[in-house]
Amino acid sequence: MGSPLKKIMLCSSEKEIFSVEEQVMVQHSVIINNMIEDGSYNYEESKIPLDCVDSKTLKKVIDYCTYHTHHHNDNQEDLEAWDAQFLNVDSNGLYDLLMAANYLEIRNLLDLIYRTIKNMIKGKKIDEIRRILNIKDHGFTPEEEEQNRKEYPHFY
Amino acid sequence: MGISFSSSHSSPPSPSPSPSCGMDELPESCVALIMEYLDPPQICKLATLTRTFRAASSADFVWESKLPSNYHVLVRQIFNGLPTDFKNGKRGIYSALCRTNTFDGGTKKLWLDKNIGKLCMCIAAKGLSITGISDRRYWNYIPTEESRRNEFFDDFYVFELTENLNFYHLAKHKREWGSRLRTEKLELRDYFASYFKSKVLLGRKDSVPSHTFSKSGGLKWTESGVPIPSRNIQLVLQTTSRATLQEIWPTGLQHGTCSWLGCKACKVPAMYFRWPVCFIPVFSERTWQMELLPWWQFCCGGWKYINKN
Repeated sequence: MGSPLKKIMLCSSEKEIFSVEEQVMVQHSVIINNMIEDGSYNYEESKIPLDCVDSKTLKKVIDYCTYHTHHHNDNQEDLEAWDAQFLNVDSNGLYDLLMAANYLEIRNLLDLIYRTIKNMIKGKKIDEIRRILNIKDHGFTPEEEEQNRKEYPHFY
Repeated sequence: MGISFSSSHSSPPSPSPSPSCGMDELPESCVALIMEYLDPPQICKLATLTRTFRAASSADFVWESKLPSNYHVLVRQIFNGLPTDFKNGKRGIYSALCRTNTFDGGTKKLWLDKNIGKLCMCIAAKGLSITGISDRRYWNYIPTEESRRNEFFDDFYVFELTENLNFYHLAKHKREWGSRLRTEKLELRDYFASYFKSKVLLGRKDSVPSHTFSKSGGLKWTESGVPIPSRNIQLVLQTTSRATLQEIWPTGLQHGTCSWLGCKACKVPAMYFRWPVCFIPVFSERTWQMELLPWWQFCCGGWKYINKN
């Protein structure tokens, strides 16, 4: 196993290379942890390709993991404040983060995002939620949508 | 994981990635995970959000997390069947359990609070087995107006509670009550207040009841875990030598699932215990209920204790 300061390379969809402390990613991402553990990562040459994560999102994800690795002893309130600030993004940014966290299997980030989404939609009407989450295509046929609206008018 | 991700890598690498999409492109597995964080009413609402949300809203693991841990026992006891018998899977079980289900010859009812998925149980007076209850010299069954209409009460309802059933409400009511119910335990998510609603009619056998009063006791589950409703639930009443009704207190349930906290007579009738709640109605008194804002109101008959002195 590598020393705490060993670096690994992550490659975003734009082929931008990010060098991160191994420990930071191994602690948070199940996928990367598995990759390192089964020895398929070569420290000299390998870059982990993350084709579905763009640079902006990857940078945020790395920020999150780094902060939580180095500040896990901070008090809960400070961490929560940092998390809130971290997730102060629009719904598209949130979506990208969610997909990246899902892809990399970063459990605590996923948990944070799910809780954030829950709070965003709490007590809101369906039309509002669609706007907040930037949902353009609900996938229902016009008839189904019509029927939903008729059946559950209080949701809309 | 992430296989169904579609938009970003469809375009060749470019300085700026393809425009981000809205949440409508979330894969179903992610949506289902979001739903695990939501309450059942919210899940039902979100089923109308998008087609993906609708599909995710019937995922078994979502509903399994909302069901009480002993649901398979409940299913066996109430429906006499297996969880796999339900055609809508776990969601079907949830909705079946949310209806009031009667068992044990109609003397007990059991249901899930559909908003939070907690188990509620109500035991009618006739479902109680009190020591000496078959001795008609001491105990006499009196049906009330309501129970004559209906052998088992049928008109309980959630009372004075908003959608956001939360513990601060309860704590507030509690303070109004004043008595020993004032405890920080009610603030915990695991605890839920319930009122032991009993009005005991005290009267001589040759006269109409001359005095009514209500009693209280704090009750809490002493075991963790969810007790199983059983036909053997027995309330043991013990009398002291000066056996006035004020001094008769249930001292425990047979299975040791709960114990009474001693409480002097004539305090506000109340007990709190962990879900599942079992309501043990003996008598209910409307004016009193209004004053105390309990959230279940039910009517049924009760056992009248005949004081021999």
